[in-house]
Amino acid sequence: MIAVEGVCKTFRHDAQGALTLKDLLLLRARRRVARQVLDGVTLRVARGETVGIVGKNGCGKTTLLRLIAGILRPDRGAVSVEGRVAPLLALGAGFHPDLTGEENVYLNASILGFTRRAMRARFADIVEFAGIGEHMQTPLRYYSAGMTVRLGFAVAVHLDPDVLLVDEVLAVGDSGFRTRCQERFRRMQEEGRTIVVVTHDMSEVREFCMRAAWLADGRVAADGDPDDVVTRYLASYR
Amino acid sequence: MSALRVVGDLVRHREMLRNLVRRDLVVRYQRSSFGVLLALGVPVLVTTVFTAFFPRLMPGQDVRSYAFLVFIGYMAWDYFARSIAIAVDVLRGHANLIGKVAFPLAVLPFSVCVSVLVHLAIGLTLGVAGNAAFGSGVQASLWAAPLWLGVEFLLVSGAAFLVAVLGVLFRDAAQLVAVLSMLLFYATPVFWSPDIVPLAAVRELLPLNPLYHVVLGLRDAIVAGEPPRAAALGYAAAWGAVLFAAGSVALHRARWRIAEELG
Repeated sequence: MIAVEGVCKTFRHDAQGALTLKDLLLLRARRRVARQVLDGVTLRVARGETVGIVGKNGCGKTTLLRLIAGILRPDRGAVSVEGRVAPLLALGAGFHPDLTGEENVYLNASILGFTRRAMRARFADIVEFAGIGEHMQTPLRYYSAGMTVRLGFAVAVHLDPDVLLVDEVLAVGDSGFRTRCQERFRRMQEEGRTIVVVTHDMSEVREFCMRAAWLADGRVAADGDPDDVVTRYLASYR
Repeated sequence: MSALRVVGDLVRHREMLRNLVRRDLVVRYQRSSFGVLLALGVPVLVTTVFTAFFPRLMPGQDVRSYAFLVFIGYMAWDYFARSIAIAVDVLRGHANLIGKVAFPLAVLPFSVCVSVLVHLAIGLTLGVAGNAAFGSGVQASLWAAPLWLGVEFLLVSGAAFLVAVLGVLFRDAAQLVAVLSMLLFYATPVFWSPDIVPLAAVRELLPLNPLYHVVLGLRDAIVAGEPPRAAALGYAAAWGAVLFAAGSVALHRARWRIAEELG
């Protein structure tokens, strides 16, 4: 379903910040700084599997999700994904503060590749799930941070993706909303959807994931039973 | 090839395109009390100022027709300048989106060209109506106006793709584009007519600028009532095709680098 084979990714940027046309015209030499984020990562996720990815800040978890989502290209190695991907890292992608909640739902969904018609059928469910009700006609700038995230989340989980990429978004909203999210995830798991979760919440990994992978120094340090991987990961801090 | 790929991408992502244009229009016109006023007020003001000071820059035209010629010319110019100024920042302005979702980047600068086109259409409609009522009337050559608009749309889209890429790769691209845009304004016959240019060499160089033909062509179609010259139309269209192709190649080549830079 998802195959990441020996993927390497190095980010290069200029030591002195962004390049200017002035530098180019003056033929000024620029020093490039490289930072290798992934160094030969291999990860296969089967259809219907839920895999948690853990690791310290900056270990390349989000980069890995971006590679799977097709946003970045690997320097070496290959990434292949079957089916429709909904990146939950794209929570509320393209939301505009001057548009109403409803307008933002259609904008966000169209960016993720869904038509207005397809969304209209799901609209009532989205509103109910987000729990925003009468505020759907209010511009987003008057929403609380929690309401905005809830709306983005509600759209993403109603797109019926084959592959869901989740980047630390489960810890949003009040406890009522969190319960709805967890139920929704359970249902998606039962429906056989593939889920990849990046998180720092170890209880989430233990509870939801069928498998966990620990990324360290750009490589997969451990891959297997969630309890096992989490224990080894936490032990690395001691 | 890149140009065809870009066109295919735009067609496939038309729903996103439509929503981005709708967003721009809603935010600019519907939710902003000065939106429409600015859209039409600025060209009217510019026209008033030029008409007050420079009507002699178009010998043989009375003040009234000078005003309509300037208004039409300014709208055509403004479509180019405004689109480019927005496009140079459009990718950076959507960095959040580019880092989160995989989509063809051309959608963003193209959506700018479409939403600003609406702005131009409103202005030109006003210009045509004004000219019909108080100017030279409705001309038989009006059919050529959409043709010129199509050519300009192609030119503006290609240029927008190019500056959008430059805007990401070079931090100071926006300043450079602003300066070049200002120079191009004076080199385009918006408020003067080419026959007043004293140096013959300069007079011969000016038509190299494709916008020169677009401005004169739109005026001929709307105000002067002259049919378009095939050579001028073809020259500007060729520029449009080349710019669109070049912009598509640039976007395609730089797409991964842009995603890394902004993600």
